[in-house]
Amino acid sequence: MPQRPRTARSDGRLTYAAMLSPAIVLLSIFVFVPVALVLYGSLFRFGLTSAEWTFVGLSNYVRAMGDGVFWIALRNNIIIVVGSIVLQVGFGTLLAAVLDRGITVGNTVLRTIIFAPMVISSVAVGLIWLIILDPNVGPLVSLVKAMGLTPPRLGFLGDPSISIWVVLGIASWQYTGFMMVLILAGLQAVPKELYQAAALDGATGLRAFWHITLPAIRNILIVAVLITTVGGFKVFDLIFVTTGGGPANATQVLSTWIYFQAFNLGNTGYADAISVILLAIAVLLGWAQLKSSRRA
Amino acid sequence: MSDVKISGLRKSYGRFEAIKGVDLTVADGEFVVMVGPSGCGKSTLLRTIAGLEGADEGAIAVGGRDVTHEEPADRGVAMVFQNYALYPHMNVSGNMSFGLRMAGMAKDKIAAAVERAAGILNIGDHLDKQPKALSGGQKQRVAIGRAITRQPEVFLFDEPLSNLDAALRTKMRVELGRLHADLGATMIYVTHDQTEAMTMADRIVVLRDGLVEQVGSPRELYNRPVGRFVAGFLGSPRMNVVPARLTRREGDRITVSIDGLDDMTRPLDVTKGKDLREGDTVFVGIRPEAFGPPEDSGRRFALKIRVVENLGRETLVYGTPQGFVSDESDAEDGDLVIQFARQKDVRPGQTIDIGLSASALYIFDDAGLTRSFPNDH
Amino acid sequence: MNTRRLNATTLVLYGFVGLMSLIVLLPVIYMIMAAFKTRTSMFVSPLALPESLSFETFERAWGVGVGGFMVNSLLVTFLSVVVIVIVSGMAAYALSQMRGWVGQAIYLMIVAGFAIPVQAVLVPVFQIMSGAGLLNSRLALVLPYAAYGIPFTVILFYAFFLDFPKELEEAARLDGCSRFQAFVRVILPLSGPAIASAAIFQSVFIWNEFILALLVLTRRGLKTLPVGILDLQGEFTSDWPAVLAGLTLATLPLLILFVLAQKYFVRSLAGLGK
Ligand SMILES: Nc1ncnc2c1ncn2[C@@H]1O[C@H](COP(=O)(O)OP(=O)(O)OP(=O)(O)O)[C@@H](O)[C@H]1O
Ligand SMILES: [Mg+2]
Repeated sequence: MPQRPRTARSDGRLTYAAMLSPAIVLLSIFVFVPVALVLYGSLFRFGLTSAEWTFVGLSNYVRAMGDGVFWIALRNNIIIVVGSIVLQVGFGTLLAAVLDRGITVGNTVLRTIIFAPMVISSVAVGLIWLIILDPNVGPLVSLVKAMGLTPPRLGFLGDPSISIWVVLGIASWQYTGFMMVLILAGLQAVPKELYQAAALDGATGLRAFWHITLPAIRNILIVAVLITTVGGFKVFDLIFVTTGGGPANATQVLSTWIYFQAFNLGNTGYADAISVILLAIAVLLGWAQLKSSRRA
Repeated sequence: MSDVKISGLRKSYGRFEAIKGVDLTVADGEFVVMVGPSGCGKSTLLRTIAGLEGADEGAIAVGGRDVTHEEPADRGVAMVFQNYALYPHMNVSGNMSFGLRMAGMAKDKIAAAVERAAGILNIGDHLDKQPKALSGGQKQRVAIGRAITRQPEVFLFDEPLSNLDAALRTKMRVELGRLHADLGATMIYVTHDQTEAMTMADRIVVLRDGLVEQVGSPRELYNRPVGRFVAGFLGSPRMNVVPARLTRREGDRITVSIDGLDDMTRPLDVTKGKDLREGDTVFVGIRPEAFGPPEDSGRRFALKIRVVENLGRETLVYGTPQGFVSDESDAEDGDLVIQFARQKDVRPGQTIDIGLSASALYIFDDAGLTRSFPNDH
Repeated sequence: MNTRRLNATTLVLYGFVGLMSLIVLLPVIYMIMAAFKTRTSMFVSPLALPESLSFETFERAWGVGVGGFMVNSLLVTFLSVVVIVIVSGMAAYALSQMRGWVGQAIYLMIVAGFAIPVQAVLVPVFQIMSGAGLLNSRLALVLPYAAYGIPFTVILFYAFFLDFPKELEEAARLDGCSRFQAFVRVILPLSGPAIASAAIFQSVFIWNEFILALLVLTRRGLKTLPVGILDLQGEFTSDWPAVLAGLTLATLPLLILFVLAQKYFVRSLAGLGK
């Protein structure tokens, strides 16, 4: 078929390519090339600044499988994920439902307060709680003592058997409001006629919540769960500031363990291997998010 | 001179070919209306003329100048869209002057051009309003005004009135006709509305599946459609088409037979289409207004009335003919539509006699080509 | 009777939400209150109110450079957000106009970037930065922040641009705009809500970003607030009131801004659910 050459001008390809290129360049340098580099680096033993790279095959991955702290870190990530879903999405849903239909006066004020920690940096949140939970000067210890109970001897964050749960609590303090707002936006999109129809059918209060509200916001709940899950695997700041992964690695998570291996111990190749595992989890979750939002 | 000459135009979207080789010449100052079923490529053709889509093949010339590879703004065309496409962040005069400002025209000249266009369209009072503060009709006027200020050689309209209500549409139709007369510009106009097509057009172009089916004056197209497609497309209610059998062929005369009716003999156009033989299936087309009183029509049949639409000036009767069924009409289930040019006192359930004169028939072959026209066309 | 039961329910609901608000509020109130205490009273009576309203702790914290951290954060956040909005806006617009599989493929690639957390590519990002000699420069934050902000912003803008009738761009082109001019003169001026939403969203994240800043900034003069306030802890070993004063200085401005513009914050952040 004879075809006249199309002019690039009227086709617009050049313009669009030019408009796309800054984004593609930035993403390549800081996202795609680094992904390739972790995959590559995970097969080597090398130091952060040394030029000497030794090919070690999959032994960094084998090492991870035998590394007790790696498993603790993974377990802690899962604890944070599951705990956050229960606490943040759970309470977030309840709060959102109450703000949406339960109460009518003062909603904005209450919503603003509960959402506020979201805009504070996790570092500041960690430091505030570090002081609140301090075994010597912290008000919480005094409060517990004043109530006639004995606080943990090493402090709330110093006791390896509970410290990860305390971190979970702090994270939930920060993000429950975010989940509430997210879900509230979903609730407000539910047509009010639905509740009126349900009321005529005899479903009010809790039964309406169960039979009308929850199904109507199913999709947004899935999104909330996925955001929380992804966030739970990415958690770093809070742990770095409050416990540094301690006591005795009891609160390590994957990201802090990567950081310590790479930047404190110089096991850069090993850090890359753990990064690849974290990456695989993140990509899997991202894919799940994409699929669920397509269906939504 | 601002004629538009389109030759061998093709345009594909991926593997789908939307325009399959269109040749069309629009004379200077002519008002051409394009019609065709949804998805036949009317908008695509218009947008390719405007330069919003690049042509894959073929050429477009405006005023004798090849503009196939020009930018839209350099083609000397202006376009008015169905959804107005006014810039929401500019007021009316901003909308109308945007093109001139882009061209770097002097301020006083721009002001004069806007004023002139606003005067023509009677929107001088609204120049400072934002588009969202305008009614639909005013928006469309501004959109047309935006086209006028640039003094284009050719105006392109893509269903400009279809978002307006019926009364406003009629009013704007008349106004557009006046505008065309005043400006004397070439206009290409896409519409779904038969009335617009019949009343406004110097010539109508019927498009079908990316090809030009027929071009001609409104009367030409109505009276002498090249085939079943154009015949069915123009006219409302549409033509009734009834299958028939060719029972005798004598040179350029054929006799066709419809079950329940006497045979009818008609002249045959032998210059086109395949050779017709006895036993072939043909299709007989009868416009709803072409039925006559049973007394003086020659043929007659009984019609069981199912629906009556009394339109005041005329009456539409939908009913089941006895002995045969239609292949195509605005009625369902093989029924016929019959139009009486007066008020008629009939009711559903009733059976009435309908007359049919052989001289009122169109005859199509099974490829859809018109092989015989009514006597007076 | 019915109304009384209704009142009891309402009371329970208010109790629940009120309790949650209190749990959120108390640590913040404590932070501000304890910042006014002395080191001794922190030890002796942790729960007591401060004896006097002296801003001496705030002066000490300010001396560490909270003001400088804030300026750095402002600068980095502002620059990053500007880059994100411009770069993502252009990319999203091009994608919304492109037909066919090339555009689709690029869009999918950008969306895929959304799934990749910086935590999983710390080592190579550090290597790239140090290789380029960018450690301890603002550019070393602005560029990766921009990169990590792009996927979400492109998704947001893309959906927004798709809602524009394409005739708007076409009308502009007939009026003499190039494609890029049509974007700048017609599409951008109409994108205020999307831009505001993206800007707020990214600002909150970049203002609080910690891990990259921790990696690439070691010079005090460049540190942003999150890494800067971590220094408070080291600076004032067991001088808790000063740490809390520093935290108050660091968090209160954004909190106040949030309260004033909470409607926009909430709308922007809730957009993540879409
Ligand atoms: N951007 C596009 N990508 C792919 N196919 C397209 C595109 N635009 C139009 N088409 C296809 O090209 C054909 C012609 O479309 P066009 O819009 O020209 O029809 P139309 O005659 O204007 O119809 P309508 O009367 O409904 O406006 C249609 O089948 C349509 O699906
Ligand atoms: Mg169309």
